[in-house]
Amino acid sequence: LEHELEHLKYMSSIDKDSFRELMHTYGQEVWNYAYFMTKRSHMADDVTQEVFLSVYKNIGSFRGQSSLKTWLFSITRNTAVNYMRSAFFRKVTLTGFLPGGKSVPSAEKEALVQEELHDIWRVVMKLPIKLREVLILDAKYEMTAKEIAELLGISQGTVKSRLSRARERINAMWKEEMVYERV
Amino acid sequence: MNESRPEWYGYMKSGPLPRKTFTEDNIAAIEKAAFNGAANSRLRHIRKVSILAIPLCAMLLLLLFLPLGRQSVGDPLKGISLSDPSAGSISADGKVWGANGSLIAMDRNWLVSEDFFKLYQSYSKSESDELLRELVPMDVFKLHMMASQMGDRKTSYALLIKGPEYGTPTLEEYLADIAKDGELEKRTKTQWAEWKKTYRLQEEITGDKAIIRLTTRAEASGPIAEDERLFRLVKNEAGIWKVGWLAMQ
Repeated sequence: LEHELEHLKYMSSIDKDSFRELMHTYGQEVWNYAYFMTKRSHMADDVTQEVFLSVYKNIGSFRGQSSLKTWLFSITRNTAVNYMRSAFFRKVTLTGFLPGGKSVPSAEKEALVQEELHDIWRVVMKLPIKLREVLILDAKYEMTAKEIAELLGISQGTVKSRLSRARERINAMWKEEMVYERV
Repeated sequence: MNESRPEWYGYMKSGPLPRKTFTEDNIAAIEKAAFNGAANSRLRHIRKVSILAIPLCAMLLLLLFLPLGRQSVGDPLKGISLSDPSAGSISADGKVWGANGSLIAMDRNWLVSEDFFKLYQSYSKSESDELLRELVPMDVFKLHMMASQMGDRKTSYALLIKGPEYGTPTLEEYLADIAKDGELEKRTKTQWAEWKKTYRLQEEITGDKAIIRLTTRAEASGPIAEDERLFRLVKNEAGIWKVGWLAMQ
């Protein structure tokens, strides 16, 4: 499927069928990446929508320098960072408004999502974002240090050092988790 | 980086959730937003061309419409200068567009006239509730918005309903809480700017209570889901509308 979408790098606009195919192929991975970044399923929904709307408008900017997936991840990452920044701004203000609103899902709903997570993911999601994203790109997506460095805009040395720290922390936390399970 | 991969790497191949979280419903929603958005862009383009081609007509229309509005001090368009670059046009769906085609506000209720600004200045100076006597809840909401945007904390506090039954803190407590957060004012300004371009305002009065309903309509042509915020106001014993403490619900 990825090969079938290769032609996108020659296009300045995307037709409906290709757009749908793109979402079928990469939608879940984009959603997952947004979730890894934001740690909230409703935010992942919003970010994923933003990403694909952006792709629909800007497919012409994809020129095949990186793989389609890396390009999508890059957009996802930027969108998620901006989204989280604005979500932070929404937290406390002088408007006299309390947090709330229909569009915000209940804490219970988000807690149920947390319950669904496999134990390892619950541990991974506790990592600080800088370590978390490097670890996930390596472990789940099997990206090379070079690819991760390009995606995150950091050096390969930094990727390796963050990965090492992330693994160390997970090793420790995972062992702790296993001990609790055995007890 | 394949050397010495920890054994728990295997568990990370699947997940994070055991079910599909990006569904056909997500795809349908994105397609709807994308395809309608494209139509919107074309409409926007036509609108921009129109504004560029016939700016005098737009101004003339504004001049014609201004006298038809509410003439009270709260009239959102009264007194807005046509030389003001932000005063462009109001489209059929009620949105306010700047002369350069950018969205100013989701509806005209967000706009503040020169007269209203003068009222704000007077109130800010005197903090006399008598100046608020003739105002409707929407006007008081806008005074609160202005004070909040400008970081005019004393006026923000003056607009609040007072009395132990409302739970309003003292001025000292109020100012002390605000002073703890150095970024608060900046965030607040960003917040209002965002809301102005996102929500429409609607006033609803029930007896001595009122709410300003901030809604994003689930527009057929837009990607925004319906969302709502409520801002609460209360009429005090003197019959004057004041802002409820923690007014948002």
